[in-house]
Amino acid sequence: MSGEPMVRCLDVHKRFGRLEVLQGVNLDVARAEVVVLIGASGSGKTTLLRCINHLETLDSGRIYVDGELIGYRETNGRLREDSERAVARKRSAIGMVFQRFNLFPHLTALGNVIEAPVHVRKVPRKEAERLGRELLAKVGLADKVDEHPARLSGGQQQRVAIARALAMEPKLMLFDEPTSALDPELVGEVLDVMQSLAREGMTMIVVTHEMGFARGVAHSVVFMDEGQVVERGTPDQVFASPRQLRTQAFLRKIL
Amino acid sequence: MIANVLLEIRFDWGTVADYLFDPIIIRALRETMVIASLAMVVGIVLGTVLGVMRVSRNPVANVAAGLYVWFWRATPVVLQLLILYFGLRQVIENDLFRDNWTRWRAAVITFGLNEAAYMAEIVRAGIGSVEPGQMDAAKSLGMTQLQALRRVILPQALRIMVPPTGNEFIAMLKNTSVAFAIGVVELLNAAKIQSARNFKIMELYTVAAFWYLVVVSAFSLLQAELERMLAAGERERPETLLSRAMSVMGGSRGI
Amino acid sequence: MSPNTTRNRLFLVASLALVPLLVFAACKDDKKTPSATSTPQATSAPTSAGATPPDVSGVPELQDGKLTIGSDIAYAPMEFFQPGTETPDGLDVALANAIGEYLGIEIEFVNSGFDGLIAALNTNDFDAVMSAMTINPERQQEVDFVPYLNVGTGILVEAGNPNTIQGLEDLCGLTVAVQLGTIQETMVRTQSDACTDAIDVVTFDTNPLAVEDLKTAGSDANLADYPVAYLDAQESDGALEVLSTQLEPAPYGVALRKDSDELQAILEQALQALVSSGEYEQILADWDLESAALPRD
Repeated sequence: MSGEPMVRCLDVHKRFGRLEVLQGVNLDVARAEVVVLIGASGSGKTTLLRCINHLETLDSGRIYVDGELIGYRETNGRLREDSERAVARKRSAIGMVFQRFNLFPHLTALGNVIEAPVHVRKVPRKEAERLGRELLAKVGLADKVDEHPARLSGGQQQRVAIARALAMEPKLMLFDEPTSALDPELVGEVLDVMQSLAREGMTMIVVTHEMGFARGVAHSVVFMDEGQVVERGTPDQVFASPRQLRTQAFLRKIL
Repeated sequence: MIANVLLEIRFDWGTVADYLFDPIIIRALRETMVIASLAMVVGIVLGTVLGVMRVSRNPVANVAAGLYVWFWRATPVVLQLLILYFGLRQVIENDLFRDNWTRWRAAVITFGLNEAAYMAEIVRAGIGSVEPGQMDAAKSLGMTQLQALRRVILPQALRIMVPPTGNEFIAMLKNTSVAFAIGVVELLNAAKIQSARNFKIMELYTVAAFWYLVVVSAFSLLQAELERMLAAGERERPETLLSRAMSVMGGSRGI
Repeated sequence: MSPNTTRNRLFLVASLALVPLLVFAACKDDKKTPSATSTPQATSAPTSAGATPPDVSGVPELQDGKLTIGSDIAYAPMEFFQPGTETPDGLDVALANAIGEYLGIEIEFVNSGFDGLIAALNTNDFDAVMSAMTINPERQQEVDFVPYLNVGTGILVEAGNPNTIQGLEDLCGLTVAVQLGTIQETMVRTQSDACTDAIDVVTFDTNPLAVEDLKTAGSDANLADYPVAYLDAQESDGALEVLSTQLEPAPYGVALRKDSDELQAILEQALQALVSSGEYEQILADWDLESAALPRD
């Protein structure tokens, strides 16, 4: 891991109405780094994730992904909101996996996976289907390619969702509590996929409560509280010897 | 007393039988269906565009569509017909225009433009009924809002929109009769014209009622089938009269 | 739930419930709402019919001192509303008022669509119909008539008569606008059957709409009673003209239910009195329609 960070968040502020959700977040994520974001609900973890791929706008601050400013364009030292097309283009290089999967119910598993490659990147359909099948095989769902999401278990749906995000060949993957909506026995299959993804060198930011995953796969653990990054370190550092009081308090509650 | 009332009723079933399949009535029935169908096509196409404009974040599109809906819903169709047919023909004395702007075309277009206002609201509600997570997922894959609407949101909204759209078509079938104001003859008016000649008002209107019932019932069966087909991705597909009839007749092959 | 919210909800439900009530109250008398009671107007000639009005006690329809007359009040100069008011006016109204004055009863006009007048009369919505209605065999099967005028059909065309129409036969292959249920509609349809090129007959609920169709070149001609066509030509600012030929003059009649024998007798009597006294001629002259007088037999 060297060179320019894959993600750089500079003094990010985000407010919803009167509620200040992000109060000056500074965060760097290096290439191929796996970062796990932990914190209480309302700490801003999900919002930060959604700001990184500009599903939410910023009130102030900047976010760079792979050196590119996200969501805004700088002209003469002033920031103006970027065009929808530019934002969409940048988003296509960032994959996101949601807590509730958000699969397209009217399409099959394969349909879900090839939708964006065919219609956004204009990949020829046959080619996209071939790659799609490979991806679905990779997440262990080769036999489910023609099933609709309603016929798949939660774990299977989430794996399809991961394959769908991967189909766009992203540089960065964002995971928003990917296993929180799953029955416990299905969590493992999803974490396994995420682990192999990490081993392949994907840059990942994962919001999760799965501490086992954090310990086993993450390079860094970042603790957020009340819209700010409070503490950051290796899993060992943060879990075994947290420096901040707030981190200690939080960990006491969940571990 | 009831017997007395019944004896007083002068109702000539013979007339009903005579006119039930009378070519004038049948031709008028066809007019009703053709006008209503064409107008619905115009209404659905334009209404979808307007509905999408209504959910757009572009203020110009949003307001323009809003004004259209407001105006076309607030004024009675009869008034719209009179203005668009007589009014325009009075103001535009051009022969080419008058030759082409026939009462029939004016009726179809006016009904269509009127219907579009109602369809816009149905589309808007349909779009709104789709989970926001779907748009998130689509956007995160690099789709623009328009792409997402086309490929992901509207196909799902379709299921929600079918019942109210079906209602609109049924209403349209009945509303075509007001085109009499500009001289267009359809089922109800044909009955009216005939009854003015033979004074058998109830009998002729019974004929009209019979055909309205037939057409609306046939359409309702079709609508139920359409709703069933759209439930393709669901675990349970509702049974309809038609599907049950087909399986009884043998070899439905899981239609 | 807080008391405020409950009260708000009750108020909302109550006001919503009021809406249908208000609508119902407003339309209670829909068709039956009298347009206006027209009080008999003084005519220029004094009534010389005698000081004592005839005995109307034997006429069931007149027991309340009032005769309700159904009419399609959109047919100038026969019946129409004075602009901006709900007061009926016209030749039919003037004659009706004169009859009312003679009999010492009130006249009330009820506005109703032409093609439904006979049906409404027969269901007792009113007791007479006076609406420039021509007497013909089909109608005589449903009602009885008291003849009171003799009028022909006029042909209204675009100024300059571009289709050079001179009579019914010339309408073949053209588009003709008429009011639904009138003899003109029958006339044109019958002619169409005799044509090689059928006539496109376009019917409207009211004659003004039919004239509008002619004005906007949707039709080539409009047929209506001569006085009406004449007036429409006058008021068209030169856009329309009426042909001089009057087709098939036929009597107008006051339509009555078949069992209204007493009413029929008394109306005939009243009409006769007006003719004898010269008031009938005078009223027609007021409206420039002396030519429509019943032929004296």
